[in-house]
Amino acid sequence: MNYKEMRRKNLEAHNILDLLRKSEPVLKDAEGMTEAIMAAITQPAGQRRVPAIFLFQRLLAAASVALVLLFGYEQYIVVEKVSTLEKRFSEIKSDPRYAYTLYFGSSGNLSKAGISFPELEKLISTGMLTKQITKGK
Amino acid sequence: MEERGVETLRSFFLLTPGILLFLNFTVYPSEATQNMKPEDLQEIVIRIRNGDRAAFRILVEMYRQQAYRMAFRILGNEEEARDIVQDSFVKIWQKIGSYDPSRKFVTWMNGIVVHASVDRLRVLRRHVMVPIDLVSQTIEALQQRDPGRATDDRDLALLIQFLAEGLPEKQKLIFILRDIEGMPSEEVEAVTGLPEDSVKSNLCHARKSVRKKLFMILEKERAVK
Repeated sequence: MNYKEMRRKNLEAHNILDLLRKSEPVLKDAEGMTEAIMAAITQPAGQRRVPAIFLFQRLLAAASVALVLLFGYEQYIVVEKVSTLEKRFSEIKSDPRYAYTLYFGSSGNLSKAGISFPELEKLISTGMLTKQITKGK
Repeated sequence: MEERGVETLRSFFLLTPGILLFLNFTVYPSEATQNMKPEDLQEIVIRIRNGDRAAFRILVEMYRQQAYRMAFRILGNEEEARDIVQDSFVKIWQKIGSYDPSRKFVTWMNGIVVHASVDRLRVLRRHVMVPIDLVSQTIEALQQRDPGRATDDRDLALLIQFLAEGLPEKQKLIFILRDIEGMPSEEVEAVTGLPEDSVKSNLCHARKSVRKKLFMILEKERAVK
């Protein structure tokens, strides 16, 4: 493309844009629009028409926030339960009463084993039961 | 080697004046702002802040055409543009208390119209493929029209849609505000909230793309002739 050709093309392109710039879109029924605007600002806030799409968007946003909060609450419950459980398990090693619970399961099993409560108290106080458990007996 | 250098220099000197000519856009201030004294406008704004509906009506009458023109050029649709103008003026009424009088009112208003239009554009996400033959006919119709006669808005919408088609949102917006609306760069920055560098680079990319499309139309016209 030579200089003249390029210059002509640029000039024509410029003219098209110039044409577009000068051709102003005209607002039809301008008075009607002014009246509509004046009516809209006179209406109380509650009566203004809200497009359905905006309501739907707001609803979606609220639902996602609610889901995040629910997820957070659920996580809190789970984490709290797990940490309580871990704490209790760690206490089992040092407290013979938990060892008893684990070993016999319930008071019914205790009676089946022929051990009375005073005997159990004695076993716990001497630490014999813990030794039995750790030996796997 | 020397010949290649001479050729590069030659093409540079050949192309530069054309590009400069193409980029030589003139700024057209709106009629409303041309006939308006700043002190009058400030007085109207103060009255509106005090809840004066009559003053607000004057403001609407002054700026409705300007707001419509901008919304129409961004959206390319008459009905949507009318909705945007109405919503924008209601917003102006509601938010007039937050308007800073040290800033230009028109810039503040343009910001509201532009943001509302861009929001609507995102909701619509319309991709219109405009046939090039139709664009050539539209340009011809615009060129041959009687200067005193009002332009058909559908022709303008078609041409804007063709030029802005495929441009990213920022580029499209900046091209329309700067090159079609004739807004000064500082105002484009204030209205869009984009920094100077971003406005410049987006405008540069948009102009390149628009120029390609315009050349395409011209080639087509030439081939037909």
